[in-house]
Amino acid sequence: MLKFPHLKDAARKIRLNCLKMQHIAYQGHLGGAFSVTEILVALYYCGIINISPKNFNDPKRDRIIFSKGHACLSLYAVLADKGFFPKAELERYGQNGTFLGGHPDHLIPGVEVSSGSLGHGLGIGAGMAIAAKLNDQKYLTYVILGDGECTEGSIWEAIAFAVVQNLNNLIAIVDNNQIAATSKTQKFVGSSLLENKWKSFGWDTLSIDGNNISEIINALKKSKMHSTSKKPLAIIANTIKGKGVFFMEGDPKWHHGVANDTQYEQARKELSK
Amino acid sequence: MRDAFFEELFQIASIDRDVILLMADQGAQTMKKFEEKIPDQLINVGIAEQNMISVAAGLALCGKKVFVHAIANFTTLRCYEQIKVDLSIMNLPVTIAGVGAGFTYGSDGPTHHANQDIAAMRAIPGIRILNASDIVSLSAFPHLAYQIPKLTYIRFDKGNYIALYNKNHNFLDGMYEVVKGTDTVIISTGIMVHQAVKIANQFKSKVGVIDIYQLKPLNEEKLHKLLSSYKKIVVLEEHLSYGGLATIVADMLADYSLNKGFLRIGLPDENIFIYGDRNYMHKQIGISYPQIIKKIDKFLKDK
Repeated sequence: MLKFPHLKDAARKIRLNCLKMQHIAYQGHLGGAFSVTEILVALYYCGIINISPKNFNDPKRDRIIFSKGHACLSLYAVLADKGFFPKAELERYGQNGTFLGGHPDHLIPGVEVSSGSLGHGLGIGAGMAIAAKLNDQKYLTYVILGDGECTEGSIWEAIAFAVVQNLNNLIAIVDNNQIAATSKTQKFVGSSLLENKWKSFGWDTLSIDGNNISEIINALKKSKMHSTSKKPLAIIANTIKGKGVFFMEGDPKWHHGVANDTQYEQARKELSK
Repeated sequence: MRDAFFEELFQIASIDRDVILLMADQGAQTMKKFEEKIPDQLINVGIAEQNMISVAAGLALCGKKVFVHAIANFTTLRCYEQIKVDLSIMNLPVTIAGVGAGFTYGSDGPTHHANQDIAAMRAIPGIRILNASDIVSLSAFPHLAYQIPKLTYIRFDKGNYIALYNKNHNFLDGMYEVVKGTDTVIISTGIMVHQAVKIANQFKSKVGVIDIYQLKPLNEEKLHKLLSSYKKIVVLEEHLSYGGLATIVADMLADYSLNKGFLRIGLPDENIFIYGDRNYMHKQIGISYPQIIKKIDKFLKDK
């Protein structure tokens, strides 16, 4: 397995690529892409989750559903880095004819499902988890959600459903950056803890620092042993929106704010160590 | 009528263990057979149509052949965006079976009327829409959906209607000229076809009837051919007149530059707050048997 500093560096490079892509295209959601970066690194770079360009058509592979599709800049950077498609494609993001849209579609190599409309991923993941049980396959299904996305009612339909179906092979990872497009998520869902809500629906939960790679790795390792429980597992990954660039951190403006040239330079320097 | 559908689906699912039926808290006699014989292949998702469609997508992405079932109005409109994103965008061959076409649940009020589902579902790219007019067609549809996998919406009634077709009828053509006429044709769909046949008989051989059981994609060539022997067209449906079958036919007429007399008989652009049996509702709206006869009689005499 790769050593820890290496993973931190991978996260830094992914953020830098996101920033560059946004700068070239003059569009894209940086805030959520930055909060979810370490989660993606832990999923794709540590050998815990069984997904690679080589096995992507293997029915036994693990599944990763990127439900918070707007944060796809970091997903694109990761998939290109892992060889799902050529890195040069990242520079074509936002250009005419690119296959990398503003939200990820299932035609992109490495993308399991089309997302961008929030609230769909967990139900789809539940379907995949049921299929695994019916087919007697051991793969796990991971669904990356935003905490803002958890305002959607369909998410709670799926949360209740997964418990009743005993989907212990379904893992939700909530990128809990606590900020939606315009304000703190708390403003429209109240201040009670997200973890408690999942728990009260019957899920096993883990609450971690979602920008701390070692904590995410530990949580993912636990998820691999989770079949001892009957319940699905929610990893509440507490993160910082805009993480990695000081002036973007915790500011809703950077949900889909585009950095001007000065801000770009400043952010680029910060992400270049 | 709906048990005919699930009886056939049960036969298919008994042989192919990859066939899965999801339902949103809907009962049908045949469901018991699923529960007893193939319980793994039936999942009641509860009153949660949006989740039902997403779960169907996840299963289909893993190779399962999924049928979902709920009241027509709810399994189309309530989860419309899930159908668009999870099924249509990802091009998944899921079959949506909706019970309660038109005023099947008439006295339950406008929340339960499926009077705009065809219009809405027609706007879903790549979907196939089937509308059953009798028990034979409804029994054939699950086989059709299974044998030619494609995103499909099947809508049907609940009651019992006499068979219009014999068991060997080939439904692949999408439509059938149930009654041959010489002057005017009533194009209809679903259970209103029975009404159309009754009316056509009243006009002797002058009026024919075409049942369009596949509303999308429309077999335009066949319809074009059938229409060549008619001067005038009446479209009869228990759905909004604008957006439903009349619009589907009008689109085709425009595309083929066919200039024929055209009369829409269907539901007005309103929500219906009339409570009673189907005949009573039709009468209040102006589409009961004698009222339609009068409209067509006038239409035939025009010009």
